[in-house]
Amino acid sequence: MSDSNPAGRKVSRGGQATRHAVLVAVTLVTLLPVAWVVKMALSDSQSFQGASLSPIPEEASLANVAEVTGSTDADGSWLFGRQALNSVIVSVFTTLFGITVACTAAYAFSRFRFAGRRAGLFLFLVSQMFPGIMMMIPLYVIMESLHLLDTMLGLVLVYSTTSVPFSVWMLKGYFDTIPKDLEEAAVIDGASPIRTFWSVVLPLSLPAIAITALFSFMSAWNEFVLAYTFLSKQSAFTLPVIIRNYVGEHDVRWGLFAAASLIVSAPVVALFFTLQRYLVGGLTAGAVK
Amino acid sequence: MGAMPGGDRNAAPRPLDQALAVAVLLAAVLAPGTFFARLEVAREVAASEEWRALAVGRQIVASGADEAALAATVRTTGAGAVPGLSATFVQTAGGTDEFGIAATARLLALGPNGMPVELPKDLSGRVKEAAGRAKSSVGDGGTGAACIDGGEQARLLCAVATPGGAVAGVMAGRSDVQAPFGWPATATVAGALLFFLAASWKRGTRPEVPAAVAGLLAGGVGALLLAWGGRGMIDAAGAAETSLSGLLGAAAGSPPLHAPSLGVAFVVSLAVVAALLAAAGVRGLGRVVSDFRDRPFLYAAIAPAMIGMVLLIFVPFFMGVYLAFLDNNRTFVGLANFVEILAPSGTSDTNFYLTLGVTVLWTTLNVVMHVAIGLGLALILSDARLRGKAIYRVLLIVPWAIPNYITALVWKWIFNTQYGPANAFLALLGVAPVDWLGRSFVTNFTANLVTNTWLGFPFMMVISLGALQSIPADLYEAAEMDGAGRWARFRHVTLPLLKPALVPAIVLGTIWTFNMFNVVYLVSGGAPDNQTNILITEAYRAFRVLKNYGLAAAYSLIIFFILAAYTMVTNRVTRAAESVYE
Repeated sequence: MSDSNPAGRKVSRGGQATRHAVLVAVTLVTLLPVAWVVKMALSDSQSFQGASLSPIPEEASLANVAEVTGSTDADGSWLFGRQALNSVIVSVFTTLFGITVACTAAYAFSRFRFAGRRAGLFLFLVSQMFPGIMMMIPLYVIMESLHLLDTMLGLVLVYSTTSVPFSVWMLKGYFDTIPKDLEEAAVIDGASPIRTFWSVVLPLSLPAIAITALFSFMSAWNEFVLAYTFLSKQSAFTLPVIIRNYVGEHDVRWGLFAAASLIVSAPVVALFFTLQRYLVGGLTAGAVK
Repeated sequence: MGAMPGGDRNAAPRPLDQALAVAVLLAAVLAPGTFFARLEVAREVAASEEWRALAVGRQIVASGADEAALAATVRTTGAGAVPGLSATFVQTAGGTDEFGIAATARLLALGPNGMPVELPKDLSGRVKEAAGRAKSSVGDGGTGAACIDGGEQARLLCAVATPGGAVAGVMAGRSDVQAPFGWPATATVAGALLFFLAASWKRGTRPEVPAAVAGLLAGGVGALLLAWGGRGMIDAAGAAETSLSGLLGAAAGSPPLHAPSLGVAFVVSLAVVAALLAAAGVRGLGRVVSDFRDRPFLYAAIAPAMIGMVLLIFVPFFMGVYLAFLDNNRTFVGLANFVEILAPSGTSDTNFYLTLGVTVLWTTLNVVMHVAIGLGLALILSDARLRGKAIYRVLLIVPWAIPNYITALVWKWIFNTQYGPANAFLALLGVAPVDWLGRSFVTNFTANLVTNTWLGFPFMMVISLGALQSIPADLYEAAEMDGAGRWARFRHVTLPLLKPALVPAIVLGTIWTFNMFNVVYLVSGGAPDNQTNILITEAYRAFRVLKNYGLAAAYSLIIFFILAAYTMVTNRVTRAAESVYE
């Protein structure tokens, strides 16, 4: 954090106490819903008659967690494991593929002036405004004609292309802030453009790349509507789709829902907090250069 | 690094490069044109095939399903030579046992001259499948009850197992038309290019005029060829219908009507669109082509991202645009779907303008809350002497990390009237329980708003933190020396320097909130009476509940135009975007 203090330099002891009071209150409001979900997941009942504000679990039953993770299909093979593996594979490959494609494109957009550059950047921007619902049926038709329904490859292709425009804009903004002198020095030393990118620009851009990767991973890991549309075989489901099983139209099995939510959220929350120190720099460097 | 080769941006590129550009542009018009024509013809031909299959099927059922009668019918109607038709017959007329199906298949495989013809691969596969299903269906005592809702598999099964399922079986067994539409498009594009090259060979002439003429030529002639070819196929189908009617007599019923969908409007619009696009794009795309020849690796770096985006974002988008002009029977209805939304006829149960108002209110309140809370927290957290701020910062971004559909469902539980913590909290304050998600607009809207506020403030907080970090401390010292108070420093130092980071974030946040489907759909679900629905959830309702895909697509297109207009009008953003371009 910087040493600046925009709200004023002289802060009294009382001012500090007020600040802590505000922060503690907001943090409590932020964390309470999460605590309630934990409580719900650890309880044994499904309906929660009788409202309670207390976030402290009254019981510590792992029955819900066991039921969610222990699901098997008709043949008795471990369905949950298969679905978790689907989610991991889809998200990892979406991230790898999306980042590779976005990095090369963003670098070209940032460092070179060429015909069609403005139009290309504009198209990336416009693509963010298309409402997803409109694309659902056409995408289904395309996926069907390519025989990619119920496959992980289909999901990877759709997820990575939909995350690429945002990634390109973010990475380009970050690359713009890296001084060109460094690359020029490398070029004078005889390095090829690819080598320059790999050994000069990439190490300097790690915060932005980490954050872009995080967003790609999160969007793939959490995506539900398209997965629900494209996948019909239980063995092809990703984890978000199974959460829907516990949330019926009229009957919600809250305990199982909470347990499944925690299990689905845990990896992505962990990843988020591993990379969060890059968040401030990676997100805003491009905009505040 | 990266200087523009060729220097002058306004110089016309070489004619050959321009010709390549024109070729790409014409292909971009003729490819969807061909797709459209093929779709239209396929629909008519499929309708004809269906009718013929039904007519013959009826005849077969009427004449008894013994082998000899079947053979006679098939021979007289010449059905065996039509692959799509024979697949249908295997299922409609094959009887309920393996032997019956196999026998029918053999009969159908006889050509018009009585010699056996080879069964197409997919047909022999279907014969085996149908046989298997028929066997199991009879074993299970299948009645055909699931014929309508059971999907394609069930329809096929029913078709085999029950005479009543014949209609459904015909629907399932119909084949797509694969017409040789590729060559007219290719030939006309080639011809138009030759013309373009001849007309613009001299350097210095304006390339727009010959490009427009080439577009007019290629679009017009290509569309004529498409319409002509399609007409031929539809006429052939019609002729087959007539001859079948003659064979079967009045029992066959009247053949379907074939509307001439590929008419003058199709030819004219394809020609005009091709001309306009070629004229508008020849210079720009020509420059891209010549630049591409100089530095192919540069374009290779962008190509994967670009191709993926065009194929999986732009193509589905334009398919959606096309659907916005169709009704549920896939018939072209012009602007009827848009009229239905913007000037409802009275049968519609929601008001677009009311929904738009709710959407604007929803977006404004959310973005204001996000910025106010996010910026406020960031200002507190950026105090260097505050202890434990790293912990606060980590804990405060928790909502960002949790998938938002999970958040939405959790808040739906929080607002539950009987066991939700929201009412437990009110009870602590001595307030009577509120039926949050009941019949009141205000409580439903508030529930949505609270949920989305919880969800969205961390993003604005992180953006503000980053921007605050980049403000040099000496600016504040200078302002303080000039006697600026705390508010004046915030107003004249902090805010202006936050702008470059906050404005794009606010624009992005506005677009996200405008289309925040999950929260509205999962928390209030539009209750009461769709009043809290925003445009995107209304579009989804048109799709899922009203099952009117054209209407849903029209809704989506309107949303797109509103967002596009918003982005254009926010001129600061345009300027911000321009500063990013160069």
